[in-house]
Amino acid sequence: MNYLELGDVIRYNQQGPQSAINGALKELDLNGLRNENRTFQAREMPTYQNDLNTLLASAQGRGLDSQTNRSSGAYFLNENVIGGEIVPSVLGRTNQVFMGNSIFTGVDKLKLGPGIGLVRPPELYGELLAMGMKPALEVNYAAPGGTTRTRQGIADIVNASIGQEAKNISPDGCFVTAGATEGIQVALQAQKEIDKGRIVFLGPGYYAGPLAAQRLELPYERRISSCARKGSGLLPDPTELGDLPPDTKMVVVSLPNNPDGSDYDENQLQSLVRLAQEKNINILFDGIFDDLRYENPSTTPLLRAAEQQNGLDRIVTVSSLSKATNLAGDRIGWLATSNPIWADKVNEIFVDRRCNPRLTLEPLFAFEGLARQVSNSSPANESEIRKLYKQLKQPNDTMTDVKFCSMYLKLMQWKAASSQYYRDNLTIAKDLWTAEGTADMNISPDLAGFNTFPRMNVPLGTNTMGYLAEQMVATGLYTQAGPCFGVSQQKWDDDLGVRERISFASDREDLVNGLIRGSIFNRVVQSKGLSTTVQRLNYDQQI
Amino acid sequence: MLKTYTNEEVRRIKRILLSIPALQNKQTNYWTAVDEVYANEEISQILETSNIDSHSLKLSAGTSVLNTPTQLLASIVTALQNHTYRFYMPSAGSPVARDAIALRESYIAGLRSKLDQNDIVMTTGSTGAISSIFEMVAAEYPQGTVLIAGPTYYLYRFCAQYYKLKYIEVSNVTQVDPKRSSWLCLNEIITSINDGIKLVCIVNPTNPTGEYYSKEQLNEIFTKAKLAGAIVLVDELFGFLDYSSGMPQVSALSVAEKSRTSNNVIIVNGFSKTNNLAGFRIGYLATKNISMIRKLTRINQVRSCFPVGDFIDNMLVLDSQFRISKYAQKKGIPRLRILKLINNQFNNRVPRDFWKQSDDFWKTMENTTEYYESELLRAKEILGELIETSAETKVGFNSLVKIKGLDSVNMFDFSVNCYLATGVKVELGPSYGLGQKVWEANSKYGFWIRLTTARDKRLYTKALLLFKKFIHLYLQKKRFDVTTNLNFI
Repeated sequence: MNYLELGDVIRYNQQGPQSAINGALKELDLNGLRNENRTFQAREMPTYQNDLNTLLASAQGRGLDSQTNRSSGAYFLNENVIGGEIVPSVLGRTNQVFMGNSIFTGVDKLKLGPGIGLVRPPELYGELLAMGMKPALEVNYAAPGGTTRTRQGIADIVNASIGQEAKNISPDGCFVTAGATEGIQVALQAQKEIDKGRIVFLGPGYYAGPLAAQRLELPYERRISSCARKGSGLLPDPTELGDLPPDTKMVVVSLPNNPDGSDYDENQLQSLVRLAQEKNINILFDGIFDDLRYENPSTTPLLRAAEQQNGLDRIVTVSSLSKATNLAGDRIGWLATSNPIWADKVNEIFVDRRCNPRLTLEPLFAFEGLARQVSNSSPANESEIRKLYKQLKQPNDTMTDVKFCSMYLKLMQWKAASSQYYRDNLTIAKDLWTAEGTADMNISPDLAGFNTFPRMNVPLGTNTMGYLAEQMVATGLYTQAGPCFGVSQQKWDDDLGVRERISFASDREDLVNGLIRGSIFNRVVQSKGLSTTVQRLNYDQQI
Repeated sequence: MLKTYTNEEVRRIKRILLSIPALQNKQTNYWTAVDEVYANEEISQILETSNIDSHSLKLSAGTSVLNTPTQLLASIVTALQNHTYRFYMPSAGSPVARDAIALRESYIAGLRSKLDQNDIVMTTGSTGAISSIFEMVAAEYPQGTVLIAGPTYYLYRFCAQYYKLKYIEVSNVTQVDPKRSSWLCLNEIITSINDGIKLVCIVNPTNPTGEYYSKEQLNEIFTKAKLAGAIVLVDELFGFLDYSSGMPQVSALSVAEKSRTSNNVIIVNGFSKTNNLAGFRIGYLATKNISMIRKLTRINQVRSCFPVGDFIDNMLVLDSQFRISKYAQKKGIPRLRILKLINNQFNNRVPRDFWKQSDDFWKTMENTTEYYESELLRAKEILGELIETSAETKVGFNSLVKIKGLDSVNMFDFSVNCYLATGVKVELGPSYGLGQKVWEANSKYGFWIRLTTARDKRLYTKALLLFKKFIHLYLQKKRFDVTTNLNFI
């Protein structure tokens, strides 16, 4: 996997998507058939079948073939075996088979859905983190949520997403978390301790939430839209939630959804908040992709709807900078609530597990909060940015208005460039796979960066995990597919279809290379079907 | 003159105190109760109105204001500024970090069977490590009992309560000579270990007293625990602040290896005290028990994916190299061979000016431990005749001393009134467990205060003098301005 500098992103943006699409189509036109034939030949080689058998044995050896326990086996099969253990033998053979081929020469494993942004984060965060060294050394074990200024920064972030001049969230209800993952786990733990009950996850998603619920011995389930096959996204419409079991205490929703970028409109959000109020349940809102909407509203639609319906006390927000600015490895997340009972409980949990979070984050959160507040006012020029900063900053903030303005503009430039890059990559993926008939690219709503979740062009009943596994063995390409995001594999195989996630926050060359390999493999499966070996992969107990 | 309060002010303060929810519940931990008072903004405002500094005067803070060694700090700053790509790590934490720690622990403990990264889990500070271990035990043995060797850090008891585990706190204090006491309690630990005990918690060197359980004593504890099927958690957070060598005198992993109890022993450590990096929350746990490592990694997985990012990798590698090289020097190995050794062990990831950096690092560390030790002597001199006896402290930067004439005093009221009169915040015996009543009613215990001698010299002197003055005043008056008679567990 290659990583990208901002300069690369800008260069790609200047090129636009069309040249990449044309290049890929030309490549497929010239060499596609040859690659297809080579893949056919490869399938006849004993090493190919050996690789498939090794993959199955490895899954078994790692306990990833369990059919009885509810687990996230599909996710880990993909991460640890398909994209892990099996790789060396696969690549040796694929290199041999495809030697001399312009696409596959020197083939390395490629992940079409890395799930993380490979665009280098804005440099200013490095500077802000380094600036945080000083306060970090003046430790404060009595600050389980973070320092006062840090929590004010989080409050600024969340209030900015509620609306201009909103003050609904106070610093007391804000907590630094290690990424959104910790926020989700803590929120579930708090729910258990405040009012134990069922957790309902809306739409497909990352395994961490259900796994946390499982470990906390909370009953849980995942709901998928009943209209998912029609292209309206995988999130269930709130009107479909009238039959929630009476023990439901919390719904968890990531908006926009990962992996298919579906979102709720205003009416749906109002229904969701009303439902929470009527049924006395809480909403855990995972806003990790919130800042990546293409039509980026200055506020967060769910929080806005909740505020308008006096329902903010029902919402616990978790988010992070892992996706918005690609700082996944730094674990910079937050949890915010306007409900004091929740704030007390979360505080207690944090006292138990860490005393205080990293204290290096104060300048970063101070800046982030102010930047989002300033952004809400859509300043027209530098003078307005500086003026707004002076109005909004806290008395002890030492950053000059000139410095703030410079950082703010750099951040906005990074965000605009990366957003454009993601959009163009989405266009490339859509145009290429649509033109090649590889997948139905319109089934994924794609309202936000940086994932899309198309349905591969294979008949219903095709084994999803088998498709994923054989794609790797044949082409060195892997990604996350439907069952990796929960719900039984059978549901995906028989009803929702083989869905593969494409994360396009990666290098363009990698993306195009992956798309080409995916197209060729799909052609092979369309004409010859999957090997019988991989059809033994079944993950019907996904959490 | 110390601040005294009028009847009207006293009534107001009492109203504020009684309105604090934690103080309305007798089951509140003493540490929490006092902390709630210190954190109360209304009370703080009352002090500030009387020109009393309500924030800076801490005698028992438990943290150091001394600088982090510049070499380590520089490596973190460089990593942050270079903002290397920030991708997800394995749930156990950065492999580079875990390798570095595995090497450090292996060499310092002189292990025959070296640790590797698979024996280490990175955590959110040592607190995260302790809390994870409790979570693991609670999941496996919800009816189990935890044995806590006291007096110790409040977190052990807090975790037991939080995970609804039964717990027993054991302690003992014995007079070593007319001026020195020991808080080690081997017999109490040994006699309390039975089949119901699933976790034994020992801090070694101890906090707040800064003493060591010897190798032989640990051996006895581990062996008994193994027979009973209990895990022994050994918190070694202060080992590298040893006054005499800057290296821990006793290693639990080494004792465990020799006594064939490695499967029952897990150590907890971090960089908050040793390197004054508390703000970064870098902790870890290490054990040869692979099953425990798996369970604890899974706890990390849901708590945070993984605990800290790779920006600390270089710092941990450097720290490990410094400590291994010192260990090797102590063994008489020539520098050239040491350099070759660490180059091999760290895949040639050794700075060009290694010896300069290492020498500077150790100079800083020596100055640091010397400061902690000399500040303790100075504090004791200032308190002078007030001290009846004190712990045999061998490591920085906490100690426990007993004050004369205050044995029957209500410690909560003392803390509150000392704070109201002087702004000085103190942590007394019950902050470290056992319950307020035990300290006040049992003549063997009495009025002990933790001295944290890692603070700013000027402020610490001021705090000590005010504290001393307050005691003299109390001993004259034999009453407090604000009397609550509250008692906490």
